Amino acid sequence: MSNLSKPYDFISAVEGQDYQFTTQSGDKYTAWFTEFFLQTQDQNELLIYSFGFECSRNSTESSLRFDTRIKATIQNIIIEFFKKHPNDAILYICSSADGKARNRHITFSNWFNEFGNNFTKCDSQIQYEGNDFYSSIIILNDNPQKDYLIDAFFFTIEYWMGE
Amino acid sequence: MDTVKTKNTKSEQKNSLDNPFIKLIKDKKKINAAIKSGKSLSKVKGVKFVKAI
Repeated sequence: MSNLSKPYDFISAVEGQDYQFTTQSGDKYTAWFTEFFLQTQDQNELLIYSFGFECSRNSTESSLRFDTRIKATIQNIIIEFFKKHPNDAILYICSSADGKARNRHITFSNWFNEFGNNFTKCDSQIQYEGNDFYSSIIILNDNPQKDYLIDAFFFTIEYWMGE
Repeated sequence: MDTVKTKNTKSEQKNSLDNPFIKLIKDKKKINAAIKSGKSLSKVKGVKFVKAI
């Protein structure tokens, strides 16, 4: 692996609630997982994990620099998650608070497409109160509950966000 | 009339604070605000973080 695509080392916060890494240009990224419960048609709840990340820029100039190691690090965090939780799922959402939800969704999808054939990602795009709401669920292909999780993902979205 | 009543009830339920996706969006805003201001996420209230790795 070349240095250009080598993931940054990330550290876990003392309390364990987030994972941080700093880019070469000094931008500080924070990633986190939170609990999320999917509903099923047979009225069960399935615990999955919502994933998010955010950048705190070092300077306005740093945002202009293209750094493939950021992508590699986020991918690495997700892969590490599935090493520890092979039978779980990740939920990723993009809301349109700043009008960039579609761009974020496309970027995340492109990153996911580099994961290889071991994963399945299902996407939903829905209009909710006039705004676009994008969400994705990521599951390992050999997860024994894969179909149940996917059904629950779409059921939960339709139940709460369907109009 | 019963149908209308049922529809209203459902609509109220969907827009309630129980909507997990709306809570997730709000949580994300709180987390982003904390990160931007340099605060530890341990100070963000009402969000159940998971040490997943």
